[in-house]
Amino acid sequence: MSAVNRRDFLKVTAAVGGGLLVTINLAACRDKGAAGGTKAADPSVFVRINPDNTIVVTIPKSEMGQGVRTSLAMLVAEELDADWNQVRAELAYYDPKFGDMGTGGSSSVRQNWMPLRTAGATLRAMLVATAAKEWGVDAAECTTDNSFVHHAKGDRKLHYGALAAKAATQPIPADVKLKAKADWKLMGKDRVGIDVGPITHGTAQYGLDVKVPGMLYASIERTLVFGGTVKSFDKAAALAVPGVKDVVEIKGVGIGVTVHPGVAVVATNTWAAMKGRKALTIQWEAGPHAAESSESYLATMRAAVEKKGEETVNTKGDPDGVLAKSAKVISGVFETPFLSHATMEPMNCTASFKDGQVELWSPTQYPDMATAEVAKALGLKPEKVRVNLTMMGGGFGRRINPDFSVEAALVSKAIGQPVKVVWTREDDLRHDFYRPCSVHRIDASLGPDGMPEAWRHRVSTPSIDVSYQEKPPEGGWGPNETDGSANMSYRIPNRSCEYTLQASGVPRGWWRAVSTTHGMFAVESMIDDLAAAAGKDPVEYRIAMIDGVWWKQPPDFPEYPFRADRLKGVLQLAADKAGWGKPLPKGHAMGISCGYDHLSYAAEVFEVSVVNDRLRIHRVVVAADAGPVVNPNGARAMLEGGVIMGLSAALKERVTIKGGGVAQKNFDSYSLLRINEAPVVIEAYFVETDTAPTGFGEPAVPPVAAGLANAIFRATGKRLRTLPLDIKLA
Amino acid sequence: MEVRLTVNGRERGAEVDPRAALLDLLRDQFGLTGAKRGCERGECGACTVLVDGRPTLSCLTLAVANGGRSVTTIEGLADGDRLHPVQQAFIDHDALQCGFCTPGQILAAVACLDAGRANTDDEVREWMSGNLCRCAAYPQIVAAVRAVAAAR
Amino acid sequence: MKPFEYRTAHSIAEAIGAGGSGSAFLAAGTEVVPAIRDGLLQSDRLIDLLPLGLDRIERTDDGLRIGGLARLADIAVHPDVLARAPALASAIEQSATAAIRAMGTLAGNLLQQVRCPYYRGAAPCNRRAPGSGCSVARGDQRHAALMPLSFHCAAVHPSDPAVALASLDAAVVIEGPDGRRTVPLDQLYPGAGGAPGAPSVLGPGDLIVALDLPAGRLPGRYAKIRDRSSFDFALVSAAGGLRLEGGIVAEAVLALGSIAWKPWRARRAEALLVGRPWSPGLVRQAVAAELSVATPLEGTRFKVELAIRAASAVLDPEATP
Repeated sequence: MSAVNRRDFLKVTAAVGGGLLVTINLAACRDKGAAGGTKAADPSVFVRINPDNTIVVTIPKSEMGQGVRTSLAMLVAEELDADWNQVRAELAYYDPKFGDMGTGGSSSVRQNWMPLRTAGATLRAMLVATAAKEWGVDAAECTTDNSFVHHAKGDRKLHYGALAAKAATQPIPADVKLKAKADWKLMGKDRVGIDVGPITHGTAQYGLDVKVPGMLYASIERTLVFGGTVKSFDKAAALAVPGVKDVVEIKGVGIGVTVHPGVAVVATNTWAAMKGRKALTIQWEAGPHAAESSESYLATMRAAVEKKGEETVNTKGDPDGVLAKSAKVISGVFETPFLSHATMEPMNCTASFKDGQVELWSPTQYPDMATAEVAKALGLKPEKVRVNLTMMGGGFGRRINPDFSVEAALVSKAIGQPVKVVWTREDDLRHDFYRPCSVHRIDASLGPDGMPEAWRHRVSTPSIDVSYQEKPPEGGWGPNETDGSANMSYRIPNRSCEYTLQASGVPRGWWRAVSTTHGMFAVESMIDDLAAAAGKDPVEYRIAMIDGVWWKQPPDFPEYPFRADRLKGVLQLAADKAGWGKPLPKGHAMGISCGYDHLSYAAEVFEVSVVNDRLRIHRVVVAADAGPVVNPNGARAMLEGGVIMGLSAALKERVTIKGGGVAQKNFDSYSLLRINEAPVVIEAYFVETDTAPTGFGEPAVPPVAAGLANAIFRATGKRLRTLPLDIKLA
Repeated sequence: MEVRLTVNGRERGAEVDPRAALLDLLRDQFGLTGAKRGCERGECGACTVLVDGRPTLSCLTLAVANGGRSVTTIEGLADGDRLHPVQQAFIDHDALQCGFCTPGQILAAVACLDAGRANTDDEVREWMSGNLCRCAAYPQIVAAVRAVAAAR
Repeated sequence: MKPFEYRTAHSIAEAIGAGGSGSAFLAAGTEVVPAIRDGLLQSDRLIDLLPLGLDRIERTDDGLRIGGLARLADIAVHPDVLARAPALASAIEQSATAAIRAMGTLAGNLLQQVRCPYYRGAAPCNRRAPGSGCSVARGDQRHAALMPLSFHCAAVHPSDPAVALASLDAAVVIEGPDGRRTVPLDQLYPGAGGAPGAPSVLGPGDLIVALDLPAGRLPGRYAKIRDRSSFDFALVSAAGGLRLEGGIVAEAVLALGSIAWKPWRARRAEALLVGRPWSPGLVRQAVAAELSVATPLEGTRFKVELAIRAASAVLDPEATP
């Protein structure tokens, strides 16, 4: 890890107005897989030390509530020995030279672990060298603390702000030592989010709050049938609404972007734009998907898993042969619906097109993609597109898609004025990129010892990748759709995973934790059924089968191989903390599940009771291992939030397709878990394996549905295999 | 038509469409974007403000119907530099993730506390159930409200 | 395009004069504002009633009078309401959310529109588009009426307070172009054969100025069964109570909610209960008898059991109010 050459990625200069500016090239030192083919060799992260001792970190990652601005700033501040109260985070803007700014896959801490700490340590060394020179002492006699350099013998100290300007002229040390975990002062301790101030004052600016001079507001009526187009429209009534300035057709942008065809009404205020939109008369061409429905998808997916899959994702031994000869085959069919991200802030984007250039203020998780697609859609060179990041009211994967950015750019170009395109909740729910619906069928047989001998898992979904590319990735559509299925971690001598693509006009996208959210539901439910059939304890049963890598790992992250001991570690910790196996109050039962998602490990125990067909969740215990924990407070929030979002999906959320479009409209029909429905007790525990950290954003979500279904099974004897689970909360 | 009302202690006037919501007036015309547009149906609570002290979904009340009334938004909750105890409690308990719902949560919590209905966790959970948080900072929100109640 | 007009009313007479065809009354707006946004409000003139006050809760010679524009939240914590009509306070506290209760008025709540999923959609709905049909027969029936009052519409009246008020023999005081009149709460809503689309018996220009709660009624309780434990309309609810004398039911009151387009005062069940020794089985039998006249849709049959469960909760002498 010390192979990174500091001189390649650090540049220190005097800052305008005094102080010091260090620029860090992340692309040059990120792990290769995550760098995603970035070739840029220019700086990407800025750390500025001001004369007033404040330290400003500009972070090229999107903040959407996951606390990345806090945890990344902590990486710098820890090694810098900075006074945390003086550290600020600044929003970045997109520039291709910044490398991969995409925020997703629980990757931010993982990608920045080495570079940001190295940057902090390097800066610290330079500040120490400057002070030592000033005092004429040996740098080795100097210490640092809370943004001060101290010289104990001379009883002298200087704050970083006073040293910064001179430090900028120091040579960059070739090698620095990073702190051992035992020496951490900031990291590993609870920190509240760096943005809580502006948020609690209501001054934090989200995409929806952006206002630029001369800005108009637009609301767009989009086709409600996916694949539909505008045949004709009458804009007279809309133009008659006071405040409406213009009505423009949006032609739509196809696969990879999915801007829906529609008609935009532009006005001087949001209210007039929406009123004008209601007044439009549009004739639609329904397109090829108008007859599709959730039922039609289910019917074909159900049929698909009854026979051999179109693709074999992986296979080991001879599962078909063993199953054919087995006296008793245990089978389960699991079904999950489309899901919406339903971020609290509906999609929106502000764009200003002028003189062949466009500037955007976009709540995007992926400014790189937004820039590229806006450029393409407007026929501009990427350098003529500037994307400013805003605060984001939730992301969960939805804001990776560039559709809302491209749409705003198209409207601004059409009217030649700055415009904010505001989505209603209805727009947001009906034009999302949905977590695919799925049908899973697992057939398994047990050996004489009760352990599984054969396991054949068939999956059918409308693949996410189909929404972005016409040809399948190398290896087929299956591998990305069977994360959590094909790579399930149990040692079973004969196992296979097959995949069949379901055709659908519904746009699909990455919903927090992606394919594991349905794959793990099927796998972990089925494992529990097998344990029950074998008359074994579900925890012992699992642990007996977690002892190696039983599938071919993808080559993307060689530094983070699957480790059986880590999965076993979280499983055991969750079981221990929950008091697994100990007597429970009458009517209570526990269910457990575990899994590996986005390179991290999580296990969860649910303690429930069911009275009068109503479910009570008394307690949830989650244990996770993503390596060392930078900000326990933030990590716990991710785990608890992940559990609750998982529960929301397990108990309530369902997008229904009817006539080729989404039937739900608002939160009354797309119901999210509310505060009174969230479990009162969620306990989060960490296993901090001594390795480079991964992420906490996603791994707590996928085990939820199965863990809960397993608990309900043990409480009632009823196995629920369809999401959302057919049970209501008390 | 014209509407005159007091917002965060200051008398203000504006010309509005009679069908526009108070939320439209606050955000688009007064630039007070702390109240968020989340659903426009009273389902999410992100637009909660106080009108004459009452918790009010600013998406469900017409701007013109608030003439002469006194509106408090998140921007006007603190007393100068001194934070409202609920703001401070949300910070202390890290009762937020993305923060988009937070202004509405804080004002709903203020109303809950002022009504004397934060005596148990369950009471807080019922009283706050009109405010959605997709990031699910729910445990911390309950803790923050209860902490303020305990200190009162 | 017709200009849209908003005006305030400063006297009841002024409100009534300005009301009528083409006008709609506005109170808190929780119902009217989304209707404007959805294009469901036909009127182009709004008469804001809030300046009228009409929000007092006061004792009268023979009971309690609650102003039509009293806010739900204020009613629920009023000492006289808590003492004499706890069922009403409880019904309010189980309604909507804290903010909507703080905003909403009692009259507005009683006059709210249908919550049927088809009312807001494009599917046939006799209430939204008279004559287009009712989509419930072949659609989602979970929230539909167990006792549909007409072929026109299978929706239930969604108000919780209305059910409690029906159990308390409340009377609705209405002022309108023809003067003042009083209507028993359970006759506020049109019965079988009523005009489709009319949510209540109020005519143009009529407004609810108060609710009269007579003294001497059983205080009662309110039980609500719903899919979500807050912010949800009832699948079935029940309001009422009973008084025993030596184990024999001396007095019984029961109103059922969310089974029809009106709170259903279960007089047949009440009659069956009185004079008999109380037992859970008796309550079950009485409610079953009350609902035996129902010809439920397939998707609403489950509500019979829920109604028995809800009624049992309020007609339980052991339970604390």
